[in-house]
Amino acid sequence: MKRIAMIGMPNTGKSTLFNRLTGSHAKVGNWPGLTVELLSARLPIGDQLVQLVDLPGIYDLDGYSDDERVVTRFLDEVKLDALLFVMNASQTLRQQQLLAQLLQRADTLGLPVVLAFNMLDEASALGIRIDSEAIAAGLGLPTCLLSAKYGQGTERLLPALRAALQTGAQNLTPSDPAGFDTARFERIMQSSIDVPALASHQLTERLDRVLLHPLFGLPIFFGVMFGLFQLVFTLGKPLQDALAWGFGELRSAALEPLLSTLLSTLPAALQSSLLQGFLLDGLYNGLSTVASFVPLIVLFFLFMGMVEDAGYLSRAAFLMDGLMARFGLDGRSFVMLLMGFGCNVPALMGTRVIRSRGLRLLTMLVIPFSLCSARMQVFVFFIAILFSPSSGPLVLFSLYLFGILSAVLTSLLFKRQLVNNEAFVLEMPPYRFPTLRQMLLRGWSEVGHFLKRATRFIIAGVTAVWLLTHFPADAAPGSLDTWAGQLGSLLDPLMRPLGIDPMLTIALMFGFIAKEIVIGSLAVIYNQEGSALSATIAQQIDAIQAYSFMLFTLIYTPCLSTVATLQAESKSLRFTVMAVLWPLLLAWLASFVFYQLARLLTS
Amino acid sequence: MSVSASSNGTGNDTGNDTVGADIVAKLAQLPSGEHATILALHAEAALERRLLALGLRPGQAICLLRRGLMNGPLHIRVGTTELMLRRQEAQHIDIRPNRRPNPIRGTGA
Repeated sequence: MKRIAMIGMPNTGKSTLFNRLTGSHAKVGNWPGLTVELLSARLPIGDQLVQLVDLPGIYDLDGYSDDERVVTRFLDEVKLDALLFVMNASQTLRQQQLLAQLLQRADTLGLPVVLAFNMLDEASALGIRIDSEAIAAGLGLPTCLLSAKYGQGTERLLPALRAALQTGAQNLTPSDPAGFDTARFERIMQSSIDVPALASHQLTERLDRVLLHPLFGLPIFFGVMFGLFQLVFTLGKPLQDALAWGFGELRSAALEPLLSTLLSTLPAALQSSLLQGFLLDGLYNGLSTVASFVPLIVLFFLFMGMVEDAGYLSRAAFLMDGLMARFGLDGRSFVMLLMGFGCNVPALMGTRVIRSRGLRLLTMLVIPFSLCSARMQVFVFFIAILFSPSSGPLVLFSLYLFGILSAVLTSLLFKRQLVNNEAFVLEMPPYRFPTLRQMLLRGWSEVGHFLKRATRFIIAGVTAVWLLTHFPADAAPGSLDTWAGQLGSLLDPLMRPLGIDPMLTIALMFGFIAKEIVIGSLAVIYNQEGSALSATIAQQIDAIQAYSFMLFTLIYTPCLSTVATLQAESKSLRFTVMAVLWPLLLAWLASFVFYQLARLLTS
Repeated sequence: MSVSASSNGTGNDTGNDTVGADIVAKLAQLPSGEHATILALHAEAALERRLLALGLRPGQAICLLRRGLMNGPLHIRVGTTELMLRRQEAQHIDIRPNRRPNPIRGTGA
């Protein structure tokens, strides 16, 4: 199969063009020897299938960043048949240097190049005119003007790519066989592209005057984010409840009868209620709990994607960078912390845009302190049991504060080990209206990644929970005689000074897998559900113990999916171990100080 | 490593009371809302390449739109591109402030 690579600077709409050309059938794959994941998809061009690879956006072919090294090595080591260079049509002057570099490289490699000027809609709005025929004739390569976002002109790209594949290398340096004629290249580009004087994005300028206002900028930003979170939960919670109800109905109406029929056909030796219990109480309940979170996650990604595509997140980075710099972080770290309030996992993946390894690891270290939606459920549950309705919101708010405080403390402690050596120079794209198509495509692919990652760990996790609370076989499920109970008792000397009894310790151990399991495991441990469970817990512990438990829950490792993502993104076992152990230690210290102080003050 | 513009005729603009119009200054010192012309970059190689790729080239007109809170980054426009960069990065960029609004030539991003 022939192979075409897409190359261009960041913020040229490469991914949008990739999605427009290939639909949503893109595959993330590892490339042998490159140890990096690149998006690729099959694209029918003429009568043949071609593999299209989306390379990371780069500024320079001879650059020093990780992404730039990846692209250079890819060009050197992977067999290609053509290159597709994508340019932002409204930023041609500064992007043409990369094109010049690429043309020289393509000539050495003997590869044909197709040139695509993307974002034609924005360039036209600025009054920029590009004579694609003059460029095509002058440089000797197929040139297309298009807007991938609105699908304009993309249909002309496929014939251009087909022609390039057929003709092969284009001899891009005709005038000077010894090298690339830079002066001629610049002359052609300058005479073919007309940029009016004082071209600027009027709407963006006016919006920025309000949204980046020295006084109102930050309050407006937090107001918008708060509104979006509210919207996600107002819209998502009923959907989640409906799904949870549906999964319950499916279980009692179909799975339970089906399973008992199936089991009865097995030889008598294999028939046991244990197997049915494992499949239904263990696997099915665990998986359906996680699956019921999908509506919330879809909505969260839709809204976050919208804010990001609109260009507002880079404004947030601008507004907060001054403060974050004091903690050894930067504006982008703040954006990721914010995304962590929904779910830590995508926030950790979002740190890929940070090039400095020190800064990236420091950001990844503090993201898990963002109080995610799963932890919030545990807190809402405990607050309802042990605190008065009037003090409830205040208790929850104090936990958000402790989360932020933990992040600040951690970054201050580790900023000398994880040093940020990256210059902070970021593009601020103009505000853009995201299209529905863009949002849906994005939401869909993110959810796919989430489900793939989550299911693996949830299956292993719920299996472990079930085994630990049901064995040895003669122990009552969930009691202190089970393996989980024995472990809880073993840890008792460590947890008693925090006011956390063995039962709650078991819940914390399961919470390591996923916070969604905590309340469910309490139900198993106390063997009660609903209001009976609440009443039992209210008898067993007081408000101080509950707060200590919540502090611990807040600070220690959020879930296995987070740990897996920490490892996958850092590719360093040492870092992952530290990112698990440090919060554990901090959680213990925080709960210890709180519990002992509170007992001292109230006695 | 540094890149500079052929800056002939730098010293003869009309006088100025704030940052002198004919004085070479650092981008970090340019007041908000003011225009300037980039004279030279004095950054280490990797940063300089990045700045060049983002359009910060000697001879280019530049406008400082605003400054971030708490010693935050600078918001600048160069050509059709808007950027944010920290003050310490802006220290590496020599400029000549313009007294009048700059007649930006149509040279794109």
